[in-house]
Amino acid sequence: MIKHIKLPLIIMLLLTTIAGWAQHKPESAGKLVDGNFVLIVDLGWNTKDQLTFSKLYDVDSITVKHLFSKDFDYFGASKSWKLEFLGTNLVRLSTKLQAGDASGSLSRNQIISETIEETNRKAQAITYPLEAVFGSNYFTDAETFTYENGQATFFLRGFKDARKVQIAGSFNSWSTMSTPLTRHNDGWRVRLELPPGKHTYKFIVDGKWLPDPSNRQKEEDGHFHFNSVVFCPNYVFLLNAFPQAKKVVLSGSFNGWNERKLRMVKTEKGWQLPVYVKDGTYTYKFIVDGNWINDPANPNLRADGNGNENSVIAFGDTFNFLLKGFDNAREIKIAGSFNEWNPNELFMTKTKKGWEFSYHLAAGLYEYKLIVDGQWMPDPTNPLYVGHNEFKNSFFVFKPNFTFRYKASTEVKEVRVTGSFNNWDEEGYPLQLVEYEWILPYFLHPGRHTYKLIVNGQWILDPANQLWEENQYGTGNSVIWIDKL
Amino acid sequence: MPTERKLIALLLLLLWSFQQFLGAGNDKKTAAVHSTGSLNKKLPVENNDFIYKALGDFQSLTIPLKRAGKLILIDAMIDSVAGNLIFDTGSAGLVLNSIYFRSTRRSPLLESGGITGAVAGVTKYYINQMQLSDVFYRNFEADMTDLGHLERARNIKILGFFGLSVLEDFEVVLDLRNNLLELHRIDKKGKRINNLLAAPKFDVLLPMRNVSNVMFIEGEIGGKELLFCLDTGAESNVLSNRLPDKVLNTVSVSRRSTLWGVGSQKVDVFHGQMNNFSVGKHALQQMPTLITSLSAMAHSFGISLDGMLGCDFFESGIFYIDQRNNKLGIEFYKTRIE
Repeated sequence: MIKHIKLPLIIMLLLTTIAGWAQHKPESAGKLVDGNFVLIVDLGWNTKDQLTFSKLYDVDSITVKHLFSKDFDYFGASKSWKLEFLGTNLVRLSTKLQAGDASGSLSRNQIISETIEETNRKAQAITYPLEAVFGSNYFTDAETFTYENGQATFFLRGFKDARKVQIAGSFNSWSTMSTPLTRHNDGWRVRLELPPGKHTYKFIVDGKWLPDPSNRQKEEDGHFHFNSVVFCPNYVFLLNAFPQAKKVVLSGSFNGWNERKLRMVKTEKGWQLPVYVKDGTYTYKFIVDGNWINDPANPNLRADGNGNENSVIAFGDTFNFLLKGFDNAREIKIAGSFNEWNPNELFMTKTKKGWEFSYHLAAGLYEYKLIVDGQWMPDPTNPLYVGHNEFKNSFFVFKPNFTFRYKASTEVKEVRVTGSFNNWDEEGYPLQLVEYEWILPYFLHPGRHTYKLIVNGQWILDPANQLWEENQYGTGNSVIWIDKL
Repeated sequence: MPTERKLIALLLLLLWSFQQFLGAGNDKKTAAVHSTGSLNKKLPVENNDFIYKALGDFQSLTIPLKRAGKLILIDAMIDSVAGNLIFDTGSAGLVLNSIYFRSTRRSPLLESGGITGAVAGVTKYYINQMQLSDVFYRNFEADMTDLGHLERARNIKILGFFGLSVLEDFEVVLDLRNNLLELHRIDKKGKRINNLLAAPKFDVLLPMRNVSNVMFIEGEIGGKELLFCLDTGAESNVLSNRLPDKVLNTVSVSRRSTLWGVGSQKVDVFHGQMNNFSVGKHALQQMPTLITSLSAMAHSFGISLDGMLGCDFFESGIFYIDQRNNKLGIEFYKTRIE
């Protein structure tokens, strides 16, 4: 008899425990009761839950430590928290709401900032700019998007009775006023100069938002609807063979070797697929009616480590490291921020004049060091460096899109720049004196940046830039917007 | 026995007096905190510093809205500067971001500009022309303030913000589900001039109170009538921490943060949900809210307010704002999207 009762009892006990546990998670611990801020705390919470609890309700670490180590005497003397026992492991922590005339108050700006903070906690803000590794297009109507020589043409079929049609997207800062389409017999058209890459957009027909009806590729806009997604291609994969094949798919390291997504389109000679591929090196294969083959037109192959070889292709521009001298060195390697400072990967080649090495890179600022016969050193042929002593690194900027400038004069001995792009590093990056001007060509990602120049050690606003914002020191920071990739 | 009776009577009298005393205290507190039931009272006419004269060849216009977080943005061109304006019903008129409209330059070597860093004489900007979609405004002056903190929070170029008084020539329809703002020109009585449009069907029609060009409406929590300002500049809703217990007891709290408030005093901000909120007898379940002290806000409005209804509230339906008759019509969305 006892045995029969035991099992249901245990199950009930288990369910009660689970229900009790579920009700007292840190995320739902708080409420306001009769002028008190009340927290229902399960003393059995694990360390992670305790940390969540502490962070969510701004309960200081000392209080948390005493609470979960069950040092209840601490709360007898506490002026801020009152402790009551609700069950074996369940307590009620409460503190008076400070709402009297003597308590503080927030300005509207502070309240608004708090509401923004709350939105940011709940949803990841949409990142700017749009950076994609790879993409191709999927339009149901081939005429509605074309891309040639950097010129993209968007066509919206129909809407004959519309008064005005515009396009807004990531390429025009989502301006709803700046890019009108012109009326044609069978619809509306616009031609735009766009760089290769991923772009999102919508049409606006008489003031109303409209995702492109002929574009199947879309992503959530974060506000109940979708943005259309288009890739301006920078490469066309060609397979001028197998005209009789039924299906050809492109698969590679750029799309996780997906075997279905990238179906190639039939041409007179074979197959093709225009794609956007971010700068870098990739391996790939074609799948012709289920058979995996390498690209017959590409002689470059790379072993995959399992006894097979794949076609290999590199995109983007290369940076050439050139090093004069070091005639007696046996081996020179390069390590830097571009290869996560791996010291055993990038070997320079000895030439008649010295040493050289070419590497595919995306635009950006890179720090690096040479490793000459095992000894780390900054590049002695490069005047640009940051840090001191053993932390001294050489740097270079590849494909700069902005130049910091400061007028030269006899008093000015040194100019540096620092800002939001380098976390306001106190040392900053040095500008070089070139004829009558101090300059530093730099690469800034699209978006907003703030900075200051450091002239002879003094932090100043950039006199060549009208835009500046207030800062906490009352001295202002210069502001710059970079619009395009 | 008579002595005992007298004693009991005296005790009862004392108890009654004490209760009256307590009650009077409570009434006083309530009166100081709430201004409920006052929307229909005749109020002194507010004097606008400037009447925004809207120009444009249309009777009805649909303007596409952009969103950054929950903030509501409209494309604008102010003189030759293009960017976004925040539609902020919590502010009276147009305020520009000083980053883009300073008429004087600060010396680059200036060490400090005082507490605010402001340079004297640059707090106003004279606008030759402002364009909001197809609406134009000419020759007027606007205040300036530094909005760098909002630009940093949202990584978007913000030229400034504007309140409802900039749109006082129109009936304003705000439809955040479709990210649209409709403007309808109105006659002196506030009736739409464009008679081709079907009359909207509201679920509720509420009286509004205009205080310094900011609109206030009544809502209800836990059976208590409360006064809220309509504030699209706030992404969420906000409740005063001085509301009666029966109101605050209905709010669940999922987070607390502590800030340094006006006068360098610590202020608690609770983040949670209103579980018992309604407007015009229409219940809105589980609306996100902050709970904090609104006394500095109330002081600036010169009115004691119980809360702010921000973008989270405006995402619940289509709002028809009739400033001429001080009426707010709401057509709630039939389905709720989280």
